Amino acid sequence: MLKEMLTRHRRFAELSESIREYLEEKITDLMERGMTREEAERTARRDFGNVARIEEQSREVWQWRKVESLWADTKYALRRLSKSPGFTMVALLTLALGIGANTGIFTLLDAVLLKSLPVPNPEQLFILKQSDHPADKSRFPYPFFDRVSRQLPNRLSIAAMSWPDDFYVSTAKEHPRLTEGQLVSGNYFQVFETYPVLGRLLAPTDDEKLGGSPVAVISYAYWQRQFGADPAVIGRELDVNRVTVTIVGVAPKGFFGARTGTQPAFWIPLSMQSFVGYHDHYSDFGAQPLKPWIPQANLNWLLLVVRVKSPDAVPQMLTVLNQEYRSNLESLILSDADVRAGMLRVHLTLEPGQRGFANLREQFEQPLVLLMAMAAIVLLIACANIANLLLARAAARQHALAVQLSIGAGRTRLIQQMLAECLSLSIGGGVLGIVVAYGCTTVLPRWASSGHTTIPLNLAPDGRILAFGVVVAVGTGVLCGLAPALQSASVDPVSVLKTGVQPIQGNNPSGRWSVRKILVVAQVALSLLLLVGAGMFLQTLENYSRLDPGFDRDHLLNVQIDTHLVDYKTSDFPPLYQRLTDRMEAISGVLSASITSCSLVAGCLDSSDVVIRSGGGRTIARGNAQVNSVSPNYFATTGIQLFRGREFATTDDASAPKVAIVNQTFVQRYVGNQNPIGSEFSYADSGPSRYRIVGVVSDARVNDIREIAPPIIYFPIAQNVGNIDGLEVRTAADPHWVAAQARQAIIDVDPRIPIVNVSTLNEEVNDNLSQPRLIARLTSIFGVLALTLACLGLYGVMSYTMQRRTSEIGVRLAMGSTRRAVLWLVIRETLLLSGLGAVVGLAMALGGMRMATSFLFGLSPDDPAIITTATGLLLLASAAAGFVPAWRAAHIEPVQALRSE
Amino acid sequence: MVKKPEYRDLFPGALELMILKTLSRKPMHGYALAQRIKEISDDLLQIEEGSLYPALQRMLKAGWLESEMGLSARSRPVRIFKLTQAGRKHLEQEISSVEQMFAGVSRVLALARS
Repeated sequence: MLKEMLTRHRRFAELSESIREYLEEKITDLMERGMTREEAERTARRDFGNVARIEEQSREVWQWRKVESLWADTKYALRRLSKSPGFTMVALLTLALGIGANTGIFTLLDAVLLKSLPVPNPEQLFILKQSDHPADKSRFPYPFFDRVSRQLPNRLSIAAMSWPDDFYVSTAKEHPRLTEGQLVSGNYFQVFETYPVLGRLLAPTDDEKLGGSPVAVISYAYWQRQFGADPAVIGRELDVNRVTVTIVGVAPKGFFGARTGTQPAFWIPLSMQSFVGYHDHYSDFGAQPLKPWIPQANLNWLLLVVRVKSPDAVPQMLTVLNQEYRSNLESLILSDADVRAGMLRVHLTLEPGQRGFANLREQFEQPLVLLMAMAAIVLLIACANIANLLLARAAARQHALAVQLSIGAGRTRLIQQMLAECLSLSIGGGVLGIVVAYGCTTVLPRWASSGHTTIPLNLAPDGRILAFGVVVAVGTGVLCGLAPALQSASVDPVSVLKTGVQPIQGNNPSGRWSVRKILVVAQVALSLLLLVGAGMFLQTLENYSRLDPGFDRDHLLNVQIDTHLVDYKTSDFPPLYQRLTDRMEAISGVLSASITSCSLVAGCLDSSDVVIRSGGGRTIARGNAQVNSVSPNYFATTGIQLFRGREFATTDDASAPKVAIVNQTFVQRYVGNQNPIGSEFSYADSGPSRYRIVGVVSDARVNDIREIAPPIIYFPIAQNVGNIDGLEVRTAADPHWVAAQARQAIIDVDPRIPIVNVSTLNEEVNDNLSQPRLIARLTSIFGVLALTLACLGLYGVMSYTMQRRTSEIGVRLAMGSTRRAVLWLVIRETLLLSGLGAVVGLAMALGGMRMATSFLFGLSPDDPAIITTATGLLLLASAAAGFVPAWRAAHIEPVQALRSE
Repeated sequence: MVKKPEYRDLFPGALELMILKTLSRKPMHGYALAQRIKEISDDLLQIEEGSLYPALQRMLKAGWLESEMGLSARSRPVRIFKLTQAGRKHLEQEISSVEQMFAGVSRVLALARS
């Protein structure tokens, strides 16, 4: 084979020689029969056939044909591209941006929506859900888990875990830091079929005794980060919320459990729940959340993951699970008949758990699909642009193509040649695009995350991303190259060689609708779609940030603390509240401070089921409401408006009748048209105590500025003593100025209280808006990019058209047409093209924005102001793009133009 | 699309067979070979003369032919094609298989006539 390759050169030379000898012999022979030399040559060639093609066919016998011709074409393409560096640079850059953005966004999409959990056989994992559950579809109590795991044939088929949460963790006496950790069942790691890198993982024995197993398994990343991958880490101690646990093992690299987007640094046994003060993320029916959760059958806090080895076993597994669930319900004492009836309707289902829990998916699925669509549009525009440039180059190469055709090149070979050029470009662009993609994957998650932490995502490129990149790059190449390739193949050599130019079908300069013009119209249309999108998303962001959330967010500071971690007795709280408030209000620049059990916009969502009765004692409604306990000046401090009745007073203390204030939504939903003041409600599932509604406040968006307020009940903290979430602090000037003093105030009152976060309400609201901001930013970038590309396209087509019409314009000018008229002629044509594009684009924008309605706020998907602005901007930009060729056309010297003809 | 000339009118491999047969009697250069085939087949085969060359290359590659420098009838230096041992063997096989085929075809034709 190698020898064949080496001697091939000589062989081809011999072949050409041999053919030449043949013709010589034949010519001599014919001349001997009386022909003239000329006649003989012509006859010999005619009889022989197309020399070049026959030579090629003969050579191909020796070649690895397809590959070699492709290689030759690629070399030729690269040579041609290197001859026009300007064009090549622009094309490569455009493609790198287009392909890179697509691949980058796809990488995120892959990580969030498509990737399986990095554990063995993830397809065997299922997530247990309670369908039709009135309040909590995904969390279960421990006794249920315990029973089920004993009932199932294999103890390694069901694992329980808490929601991951932040703990105050310190190693070796340094200052505690908030670190994400998770409580898990003893068989957790075995169900995920993982093995320790070091030491041991948790075992079922760790579940046996309440508080009996103060151990922790740490994650590989934490081991690296915190302990410098020290192999002697086993046996060292970790201080978790002031409880010392011993490190027994290191989990495998990359393991994060079942929730994409979380990265716990450590895992500790469920039996440690009350000891490490894990107290968030639960729902209950009259349980006692301050006592250990393990024995409580009516406190839901565990997520359950099931491993089913074969799909056939799923129905049987469900039967066992449902039986156990029923008997767990029987053991519950549910005083409220309705709740009981509701619970009996619940049945369990298994959802595929291959990709873990869905929280990140639900949050980001739609935005990612939207971004993907926009990136795809940008790439389409880039394709159209490059196709256009290539068409222009192909037109310039007509003559060369005609020569190639006339000496025997096949048309398929010409198409192959053009495609080789585009593919070289698109693959080059794809390689450069890796940089862009990498940039996207580092910047986008940071933009999309709220707060100061970035969502941990596994963005390692996998086979799917590689395949996506290759498909996009090759697809782009073919898309760019198809029109130019088909056009070059349709060159008619005779007319081109005869006249020098040819009115190729689709490239007729005087014709109205060449392929190039259609491409430009498409570009304009797509970029208008993006521009309208950008306008609407920017307006949405603007509307959000101007939105009155129902509280006065300027000059307001959230001071979040965690009193759970200090062992306060109930009697300690009232003086603590007082000291905190007094100390805070003593800071100069602080106007007032108020205790709250649920800080504004910080994502605490305590809620309860309540039964509402009229003043006469008749039950009028039952339902769920969010609850918050606050000190008397809360509404004055936050600026939440009181509509009816009264605010809390200091007289609403433990000895006074129990009172509450509700928001308007609560009234509308549960009380109706009656006077809410004086109505009463009680908890659906505990005791007889009744609360009297004494006031109604406005519907402040207390959870998330993008969410309409749910029904909310406010209690006076003096009647509802317990742990608090922090203080709302009203300041006279910029709240940043008192932030440090506010921290100091907490430390002064009790240095044991951990400070979770001190931030202004404006910062919190900004965090809420990270997603709309991301979408607005990216759409704007894409929109500007698209507009630029479309203008470049317009410019290119108009320049080309004008070049072809030089002599016509020369004649016009010679006949007395004014330069102004010529200028207008060209601009009018440009505007005609972009106007047509705008019409198509408007239709697309109206349809497209309707699909994106869920991303809009405060405006309709056909907002006339934005559509008009976007269209105006587009037309202005395209007129500018047409101006240069128009100016050039208007300044043609008629004499020169006519002479050059 | 241009029809591949060597498949025109004839069964596949016919051109190769003719070349092998012709060269088996005497090594020849390209033009002489083409003339000879035309003569023998009585212009029955309307082959494009050039199509000889891809066929020759295929046969060179298969090792049935080899080429060497020689002189033409007009004493010009030309490449002469001649059969190799492998080529001779291949020719014999081809001839017998073609004969079998023709025998089969004529039997069928005879049957159809009666």
